[in-house]
Amino acid sequence: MTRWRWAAAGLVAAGFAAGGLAPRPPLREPIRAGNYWILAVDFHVHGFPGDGALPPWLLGDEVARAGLDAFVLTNHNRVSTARFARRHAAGTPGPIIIVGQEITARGFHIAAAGLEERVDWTHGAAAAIRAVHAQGGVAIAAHPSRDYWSGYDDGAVALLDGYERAHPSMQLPEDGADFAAFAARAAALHPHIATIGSSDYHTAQSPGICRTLVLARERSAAGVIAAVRDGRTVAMDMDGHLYGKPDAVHLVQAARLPPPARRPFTAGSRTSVAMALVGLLLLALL
Amino acid sequence: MNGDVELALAPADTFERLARERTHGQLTALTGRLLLVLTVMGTSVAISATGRVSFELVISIAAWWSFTLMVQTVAAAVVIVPARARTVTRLRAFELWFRAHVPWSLWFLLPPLYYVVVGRRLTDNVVMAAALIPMAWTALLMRAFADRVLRSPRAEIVTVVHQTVLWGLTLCYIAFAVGGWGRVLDQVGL
Repeated sequence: MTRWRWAAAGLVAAGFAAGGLAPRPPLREPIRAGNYWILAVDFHVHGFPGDGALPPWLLGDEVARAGLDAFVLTNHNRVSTARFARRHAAGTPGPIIIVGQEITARGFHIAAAGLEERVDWTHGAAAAIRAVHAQGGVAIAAHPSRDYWSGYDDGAVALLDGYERAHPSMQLPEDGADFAAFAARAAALHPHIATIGSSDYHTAQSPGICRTLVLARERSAAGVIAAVRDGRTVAMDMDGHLYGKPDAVHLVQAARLPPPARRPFTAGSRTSVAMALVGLLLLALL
Repeated sequence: MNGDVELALAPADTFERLARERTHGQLTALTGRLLLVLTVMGTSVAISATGRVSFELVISIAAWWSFTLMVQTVAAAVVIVPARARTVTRLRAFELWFRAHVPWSLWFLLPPLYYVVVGRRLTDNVVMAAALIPMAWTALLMRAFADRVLRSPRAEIVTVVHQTVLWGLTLCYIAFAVGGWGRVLDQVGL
């Protein structure tokens, strides 16, 4: 290697070392409101192996940095990554990991939480929701825009435990209007249905960029699932707007929770990232 | 300009020169190239997914995503191993092929660089559309590799075989990741 390439390699290593020096934010203090814990939960997160970028142990760290108390790992039509993540994190401090599956079929996607076994996605939305319930889990309509709602008849909507009211794609005007239309339909068919905010985190943005504030009786996976089943949730979108039943929204508003951080670079992270990138470009090109 | 860039810009002449220069491969040279590619990939994914870099983050992601290099190795082996007319050893052929990383390395590094400089991400659609450039560029590099290193009289066919294996295996992973072949077919309108 030439002197220049050694210097470039040194720049990359210095960038990585500087990035590793940034302090890890402390775990969020739990918030109590009346008889409930207000837990910040992301019900729709993807990991690797799958079409998410991060392996399970890095996901837990990233979710904690986003200020979440729990997340549901919902890879498409499989639960193995989520089960591995839960086993790996057992006994360590950090967010609660709930095993889930994004039940992925033509005409509907369902973010299912609280599973142990994979749910068959080939027999329609109503059958899939019943299979989720049979395992003690909850079924949430994922990003219910018109591309993903043709699989729901009224019977299936009435069976749902929740639907994503806040999701990054709602920033697209046509999707935003679709989400509102699905919300009206869901509320008419199932008045106690839970409103959910999810990031659908794969490789960009941040987990928890849209999130759910869950009013849980206990700080556990079972507590989170029970709250969804009872409709004790408030969805928060990227700008901090809240969606849910008025009494639940009032409780959450009183807690004065900040809107989700959009993860801007800090001066330190921008410098370390820039050093690594420039070093790698020099290594590749010089 | 280093040899890898020269190879990316003038593949036929550069592969010809490199194949004549040395016929036996060096494991250290091949390992160095693979490590560079893994670091590029791990860094790019780390920045996209977390906005940060660190040794722990990049090494973990690179280790998990190293299966993409396995896919590349399998696709390269399919055309390198049976090539009887090549004048270099198998190791040297792999070493030379993995010098053709520049198009994909640029694809991995330029979007996060844009993000750092401008403070805004390129949309997924732009990044995916931009992938057509390294896809086509790498196919051209394989054609030159087949011609000048493997000495194949049917370089076009070798290129088609290589690309078919590479993208066939990649599609298999995509189908696994997104919930099955049905969804892949949906996405392409079938």
